[in-house]
Amino acid sequence: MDCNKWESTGLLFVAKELDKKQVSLYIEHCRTCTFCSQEVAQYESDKVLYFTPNLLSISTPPDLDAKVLSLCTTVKQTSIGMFSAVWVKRVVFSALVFAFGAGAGGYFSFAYYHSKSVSSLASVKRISPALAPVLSSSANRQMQPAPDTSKSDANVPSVLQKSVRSPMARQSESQGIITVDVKKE
Amino acid sequence: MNVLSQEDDQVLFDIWLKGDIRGFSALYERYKNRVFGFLVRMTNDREIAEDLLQDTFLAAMRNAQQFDRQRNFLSWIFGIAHKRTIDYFRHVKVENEHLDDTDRSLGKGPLLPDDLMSGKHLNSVLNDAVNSLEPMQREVFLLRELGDVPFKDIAHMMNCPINTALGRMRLALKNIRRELKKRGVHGLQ
Repeated sequence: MDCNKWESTGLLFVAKELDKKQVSLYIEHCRTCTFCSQEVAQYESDKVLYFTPNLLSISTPPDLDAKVLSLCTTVKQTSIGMFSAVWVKRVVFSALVFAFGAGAGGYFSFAYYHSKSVSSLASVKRISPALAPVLSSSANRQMQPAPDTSKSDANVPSVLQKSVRSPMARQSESQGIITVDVKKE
Repeated sequence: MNVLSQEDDQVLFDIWLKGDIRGFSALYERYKNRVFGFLVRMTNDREIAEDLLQDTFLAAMRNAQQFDRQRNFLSWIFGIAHKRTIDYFRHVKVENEHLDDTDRSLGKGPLLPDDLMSGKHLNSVLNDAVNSLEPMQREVFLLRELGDVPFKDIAHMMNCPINTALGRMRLALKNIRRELKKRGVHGLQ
């Protein structure tokens, strides 16, 4: 009677495609299963006698060999070496992706800061047309990393110099109120 | 070249990758007959097998970078040959759809390889036995025995579960033995 293990495991065993544990388990199985042990022996015998590369191979004609070798020597080797076309394509693609990412990031960050300054300008217009130049100059200063207040605020009235920069003051500006530090004044 | 012919496949492949065509030539010399045997038996047409052999090695040349070093070179080249054969059969199938039955009956029948005509009895018997297999069984048998392709890869190539590939192999072995016995050659000595 045929044993199912020959098909599921035995063929993988003779093809040496089992791991060590499976090999030992199948050898153990073959000790008790005559069908599997006979099949393994039969296959090993056939492999030596008939299923050899010499018997199964077919010789190529010499003119074909010459043709193939001459074609393969002239063919463009697209994938030879480190600086092959494939690698060049990969590097160029990566550089383009990086450049695009950097450009997009820069554009959006610029747009973000620009929109901030525009919104502050809009709030200035709501407060008073007379104060717009003063507040817009202060909004522009917010974008600069280290504003030198002593020089740039020369034209701004001392009343507005500090109150415009504080967050609370900005909130008040949107409501049309300008905070003034009375104590200081 | 004699020194190169003794080298390992991986070494020859590295030589080939460095741009030395002798690496490729050595690999070609080593495996051309096996691949040709596979192609002739799969197509049953020597001329088509010659074209497919050429295509196979050209494709290998062009796609050398895609070779996975974990794999056997032979099974990789057999994978390419198998793919070329499938493409050929697809092409033939499309062409045959435009032929009527009369044309088909006049078509060229399967050609036997020259080796069969050379009088080598065992070779002839074995070829008959292999040719008598169903196409799917023959495919698995040749990929495994000629190409040393692992069953896992055979299953992947044939787009079927590994158990199906194993089942086809079992049937192929059974049928080959039956054919060998029928022709007076016994498997188990």
